[in-house]
Amino acid sequence: MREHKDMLMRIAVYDALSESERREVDEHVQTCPTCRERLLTYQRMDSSLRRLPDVPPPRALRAAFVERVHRREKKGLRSVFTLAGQGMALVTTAVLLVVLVGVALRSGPLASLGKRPTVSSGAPSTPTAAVERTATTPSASEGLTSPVFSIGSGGCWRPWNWDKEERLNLQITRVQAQRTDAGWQLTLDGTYETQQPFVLYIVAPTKPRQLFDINLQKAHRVALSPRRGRFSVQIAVPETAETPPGVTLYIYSPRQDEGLLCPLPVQALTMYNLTRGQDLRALAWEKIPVRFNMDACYMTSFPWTWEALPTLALKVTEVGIAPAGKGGNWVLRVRGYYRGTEVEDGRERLNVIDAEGHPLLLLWSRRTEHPNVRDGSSTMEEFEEYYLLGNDVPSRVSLVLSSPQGQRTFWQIVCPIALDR
Amino acid sequence: MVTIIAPRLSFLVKTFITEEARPVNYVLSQAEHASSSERAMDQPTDVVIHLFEEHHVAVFNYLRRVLNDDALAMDLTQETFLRVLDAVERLNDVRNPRAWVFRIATNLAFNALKRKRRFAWLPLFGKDQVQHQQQFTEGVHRRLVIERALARLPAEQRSVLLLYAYYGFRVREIAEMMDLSESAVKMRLYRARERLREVLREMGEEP
Repeated sequence: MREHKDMLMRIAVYDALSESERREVDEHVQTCPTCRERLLTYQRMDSSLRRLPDVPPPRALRAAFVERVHRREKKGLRSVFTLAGQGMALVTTAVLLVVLVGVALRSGPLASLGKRPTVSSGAPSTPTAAVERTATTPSASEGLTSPVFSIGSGGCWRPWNWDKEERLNLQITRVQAQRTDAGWQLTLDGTYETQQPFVLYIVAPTKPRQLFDINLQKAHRVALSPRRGRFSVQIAVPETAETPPGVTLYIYSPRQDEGLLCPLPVQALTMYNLTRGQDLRALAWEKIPVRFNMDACYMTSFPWTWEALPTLALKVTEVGIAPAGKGGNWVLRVRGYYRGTEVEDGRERLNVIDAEGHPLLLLWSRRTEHPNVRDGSSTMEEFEEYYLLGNDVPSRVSLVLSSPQGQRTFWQIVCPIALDR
Repeated sequence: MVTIIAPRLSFLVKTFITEEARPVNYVLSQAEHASSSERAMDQPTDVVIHLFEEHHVAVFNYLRRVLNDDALAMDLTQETFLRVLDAVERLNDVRNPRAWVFRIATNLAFNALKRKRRFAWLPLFGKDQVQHQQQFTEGVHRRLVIERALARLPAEQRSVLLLYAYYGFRVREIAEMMDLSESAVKMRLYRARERLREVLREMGEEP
């Protein structure tokens, strides 16, 4: 019996056996059906295990890690500078003492009394100009202009622990875009109001899909102190055949050690001004036959947490497009109902992405709750949302339902909507 | 100290993926011939970020399977590479940096599991509400079944099985990683396989 167990243990590490051991096992399994069956079972299980897909980590993981590494690096440098500063102070004091003693000796002890040493002119001046680089606070009379983009308007990928406590109001209030040989020169003006420190990184992609895969080392960095303030950033946005022109805002919260990722296509940013202030409902709407099938919905790759597969009801009742503004822009309207899970931290979030996965800019949204179908854990909600499409009407967009913020488990369900006319 | 080591480490990182089997000293002797410009551009943080780029997907997936908690896996993936940064000078003495990174990840995972036993995150939905299985193709269904069965193994067994069968580490390497004897690793591996087989049968699936 013991011999049999020894053989099973060898079978458990069959791949790691030496040639002679493996030969012994091979000979044994010829005559022992139990061990033969077990060897095949283990090999089948290994094969299944090896086929398990690796889930891509959330995009924010890399950015958060790099930020933490650089913070450590800066902390290290700061301590070095602190030590150096202390050393400098000691040296300066010693020099002062030596000079004072020298002056005292030269002038005599009585002559030095009441005189100030003249060596202070060599001391470094206070770097007042350098500390004035933070954003200035707007005066109360200026107010906030109508935003081009607001983090509250959707289109951002929120990590699950980016909760309501963050209390950040950030808006891009003006975008100036100039064509250059290499792409665009963008000037982004914005305002913010916060009670906690944040760091805003603005990055222009240089590779496809980099709208989501940001390199903080090459980012424009704006420290957002706990107050109201404004910022202005100039950034060159390259445009190649394979690179969608745009910028990504990565709003990092040191408190949460997490960031909010907001990819913004340049076209959406520059065109938004054309539709601002228009009554979207009064546009000339063209209804598109709804071809929306729940079975076509799929979960995005992160996470592979099937245990947390949500139960949802979703129905799109109307899809329409309308021309808007003078620039040949189109606006998309999606109406429908959904019923999801209401948890302490909120509800599922809804937004629309284009075929490349970039969130469309939400222009306006209305939600109407229908309490008559409330069953204690979920509520049917009617939605009506308007998104900016840009110059072209794509053949397909996707409705994305994301897990409520604050949840430990993060999922997204993507439901394609055909826009064929 | 760090500034002297950093360029060597960067070369090591660039090299070990293809020259894993060779001793580190050999790699370092090659590094002596690296161009001065290549040496000048790297810092320990660059080395660690490079290591992160190479391995964070594997480490993240390993951790989430051992911990059954994606959010915690994300935290510990970062923590793993921050520990690497803290001990970056030791990379010179490390024969297999990938195994070293996994060793740190394993230690962090088991420490977290010890703490986690005091409380548990509840799933958002009950298991009985999981539906739509029939929508998946057979291959996806099998993967789903294996993921679930794996999640029901004790963490120690799950970890050994993943390191051996999924990540391809040798028994000796796993023994070093987990501070176990090789025979203990083999025993754990055997038990893990047997348990997985039982769980699959309980689920009505072919092992």
